Amino acid sequence: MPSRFVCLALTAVVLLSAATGDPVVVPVPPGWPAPRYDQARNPLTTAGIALGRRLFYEPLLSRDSTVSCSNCHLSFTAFTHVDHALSHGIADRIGIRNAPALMNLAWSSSFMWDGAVNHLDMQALAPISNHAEMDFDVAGVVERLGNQEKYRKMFEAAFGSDIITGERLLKAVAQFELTLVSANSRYDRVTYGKDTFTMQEKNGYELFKKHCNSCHTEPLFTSCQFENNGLKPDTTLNDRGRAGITGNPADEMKFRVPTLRNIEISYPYMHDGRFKRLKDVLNHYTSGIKDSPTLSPLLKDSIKMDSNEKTDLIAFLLTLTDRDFLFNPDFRPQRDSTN
Amino acid sequence: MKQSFLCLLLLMHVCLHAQDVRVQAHATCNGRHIQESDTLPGGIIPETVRFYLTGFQFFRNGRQVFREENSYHLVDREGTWTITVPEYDEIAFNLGTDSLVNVSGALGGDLDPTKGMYWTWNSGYINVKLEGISPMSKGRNNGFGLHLGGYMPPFQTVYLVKSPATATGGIRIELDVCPMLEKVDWQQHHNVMSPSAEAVRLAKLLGQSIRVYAE
Ligand code: HEC
Ligand code: HEC
Repeated sequence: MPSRFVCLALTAVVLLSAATGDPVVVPVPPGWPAPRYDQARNPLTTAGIALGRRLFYEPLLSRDSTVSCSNCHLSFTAFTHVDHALSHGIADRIGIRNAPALMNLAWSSSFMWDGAVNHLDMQALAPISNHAEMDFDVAGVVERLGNQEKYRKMFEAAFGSDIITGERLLKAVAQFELTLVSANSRYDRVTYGKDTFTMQEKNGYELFKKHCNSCHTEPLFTSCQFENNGLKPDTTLNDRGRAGITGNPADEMKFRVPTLRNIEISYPYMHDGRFKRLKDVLNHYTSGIKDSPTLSPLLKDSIKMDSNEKTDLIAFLLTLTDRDFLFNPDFRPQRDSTN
Repeated sequence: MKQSFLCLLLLMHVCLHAQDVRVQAHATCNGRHIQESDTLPGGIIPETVRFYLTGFQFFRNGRQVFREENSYHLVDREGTWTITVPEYDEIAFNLGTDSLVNVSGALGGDLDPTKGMYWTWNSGYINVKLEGISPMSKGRNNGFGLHLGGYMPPFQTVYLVKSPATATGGIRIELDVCPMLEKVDWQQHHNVMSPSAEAVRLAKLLGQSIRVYAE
């Protein structure tokens, strides 16, 4: 028995050291909480991230090899499907929800608008097998990639052997996604004393703290909780939100509070993309709230803001745009020479 | 000093008495092993019968003497594996996966998502997958699909089995699916695809139909 243990321990050491690529840690901006993602279970390396990035742009992940993750999550638009209320995928089938922006995923405790996915690793299974998205299955993807010398090499570099498994595939995609950190907007630079707000933005910030911060909580601009923010149910979609997962009537019409970082870019807004402009969103909060038993108590008395205040609040929201994030060359597809 | 000496003695004892135990698991119907192209009572044709047996523990005189590490075994109608354990007189294991692995991200081996036992749109393992054809099913072409899983209250589907095991050469575990199939609501619940009260009910019926034989 003890010899078996020693043998196992040695194997583990060999396996770990065989994985090449320099170790990488998700950067934690000053003042932010610790990431929720347990990197000890999936240590990031340059090789793992490069593989994940390659996979993110790989149409082979879809049944007919036409759709990659980037079809709906575009780097220039904070990884959202800009201008599409409901994302469409393979054979132009329309999905039922708006593609959320992807950023700061290391800090999320659940994924999807209704929190259906409990871990970032497992998220990619959903689009790969969704009929309206990539319409394939992970076993098929693993088999396809295994036929390619290029991928066998990349898996070897990332995980120490060229065996492709579902676990490794998902972990590589997660590694790339974990690097999508947006923390260098004007708002951040003001926080760090490197920039200042205009009077208008300052006013807007005060209004934000008063009316919005309890759900869209700084510094991530989300509380990661599920809330009903008073949207009128869309009877053509009948989306119950969180209640569709838990079956609990108390969760009816609750959706996960989305981040407001890069909100200027990630229109249209809400889970079904019903609003095109930030102005429409603010009008919703001041005069469109639909009362219901699960409506957040914070929104029972509608928010009062005049049109100047709305303009100020929007000016503040625009300071959350992070150009370094949107135009980061590391987030775009690799050129083949830069494998 | 004295304690560590005792510890050492115990360890030596364990090492000396460690033995390889062969575990065989089978899906059965009323006690008979289900074969590839079997037709079960009621004309039911089971095309897929897959389930997780996990968390194997061994006891002696009421005290745990061994707990298998990484104890997750996916049985596809039948399966065999070996565990090295000290002397025991009782064993315990789960039908289904514990809640921890359901929230731990991507895992390998029998838990790898390519095994088709992980829900793609609502995180969590499918603990038992039974698919096939039943003349009673209201489903398309009389098909049925019972994907039983769920790790969060109130829909937890994992079932703990504990059984005395006096002979210590091998263990045969039989999951009898027929008592459960008799109680399926073929009109309304021929497809169970998410954690639900129905999944909990069926998983429990299956758990109660597990028989353990020590040989
Ligand atoms: C056809 C469009 C489409 C494709 C292709 C697609 N997604 Fe998505 N993605 C969506 C939609 C829509 C949602 C929201 C789904 C929901 O809430 O039910 C989403 C949600 C997500 C989320 C959750 C974000 C959060 O904060 O909750 C992540 C992460 C993600 N996608 C990554 C990926 C990856 C990785 C791929 C490729 C394997 C991919 N997506 C392919 C449309 C798509
Ligand atoms: C009670 C919590 C709560 C409060 C307070 C709140 N929101 Fe929201 N907000 C949400 C939720 C939940 C959603 C997602 C709703 C959905 O899509 O169903 C959301 C969505 C949004 C969106 C769309 C984001 C996207 O990516 O689609 C914007 C913009 C927004 N809120 C801005 C604001 C502003 C500005 C305020 C303050 C005036 C505010 N919210 C106050 C909970 C809240």
